[in-house]
Amino acid sequence: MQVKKLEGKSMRKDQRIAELAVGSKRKDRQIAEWIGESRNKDHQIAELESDLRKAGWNYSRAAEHILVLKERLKQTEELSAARSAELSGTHAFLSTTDRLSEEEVLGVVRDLNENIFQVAALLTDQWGMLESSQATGCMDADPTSRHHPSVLTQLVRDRDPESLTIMLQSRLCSQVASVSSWGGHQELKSVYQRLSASGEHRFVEVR
Amino acid sequence: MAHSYLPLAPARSELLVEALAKELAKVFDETGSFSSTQQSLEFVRAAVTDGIKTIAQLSLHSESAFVVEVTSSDMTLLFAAPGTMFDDAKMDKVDTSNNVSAPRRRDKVAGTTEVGVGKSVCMGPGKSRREEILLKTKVVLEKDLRR
Repeated sequence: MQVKKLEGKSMRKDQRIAELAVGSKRKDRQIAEWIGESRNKDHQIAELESDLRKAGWNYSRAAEHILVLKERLKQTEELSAARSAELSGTHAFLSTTDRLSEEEVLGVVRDLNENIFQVAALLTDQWGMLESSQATGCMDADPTSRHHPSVLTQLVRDRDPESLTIMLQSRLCSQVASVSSWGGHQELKSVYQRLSASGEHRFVEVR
Repeated sequence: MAHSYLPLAPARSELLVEALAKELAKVFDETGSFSSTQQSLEFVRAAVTDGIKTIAQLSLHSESAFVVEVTSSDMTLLFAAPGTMFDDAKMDKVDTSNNVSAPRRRDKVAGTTEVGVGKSVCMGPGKSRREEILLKTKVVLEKDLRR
């Protein structure tokens, strides 16, 4: 009876051992699978690390390229600024674009004519007042015009105010005409005229 | 005007004012209106110094316009010296109180009362220049003056 009990107990233990062995084998397989998976993960990590290193390297190269481009842009901008400054300096001499329209220029000249008339008329009025209030005495005329006075000069000597206004206007017109159009820059005018006459300059007006 | 490439130094303006005053004083000398050149000059300065300054400024402005601001053509102020022959292409006769007849080419100019403006445009390399009158000079003819 006791032997049978022991045999039964032994059989249960064997069965239990067999079950544990099966479980152990299952665990071993699972462990083997995990190890395989772990190796795969390690491989993937290594690949990702490699990709990351490549990306980092590409990023560094791109950053260097950007720096080079920025430096080139800066140089180009500096060159452009320098050229622009040079061009603006020569603009007036090489440009066909006028900064004033013809009408604006004519406006300046009309204004000039108006002011010339005002000055001549005012002087004539003042002269007339002097003539009537006091004898300015008939003074000696300028010897240079004494012998061959112009018609206007003679008329003014005869106290004609209209002729005086005309004479004063004419003298002022003569003076302003001599000032404009290179009046104070004869050497530049000479250079410009030589350029124009040579026919070597381009269509663009050169001043 | 923003800027100019020609020197518009105050000194130049002052020189021009002085030259204009002397030129006007010369008229009074030539016509025997005062007993001395100094008196003529003082008379002119007392009467129209401000006006002369305005004329000087406008004159320098027009010079700058012709020489610097306008580059597509050559613009010039036109003036007819006394004694030159009337040219109706460039001049307009001023109506005076003694006008007698229409101007003719052989009529002599007595004086210019308003300056004109001429323009010369280059038509291209090797081509002639085109001349235009934008504003005719206004002149008084000798024959129209009272004698």
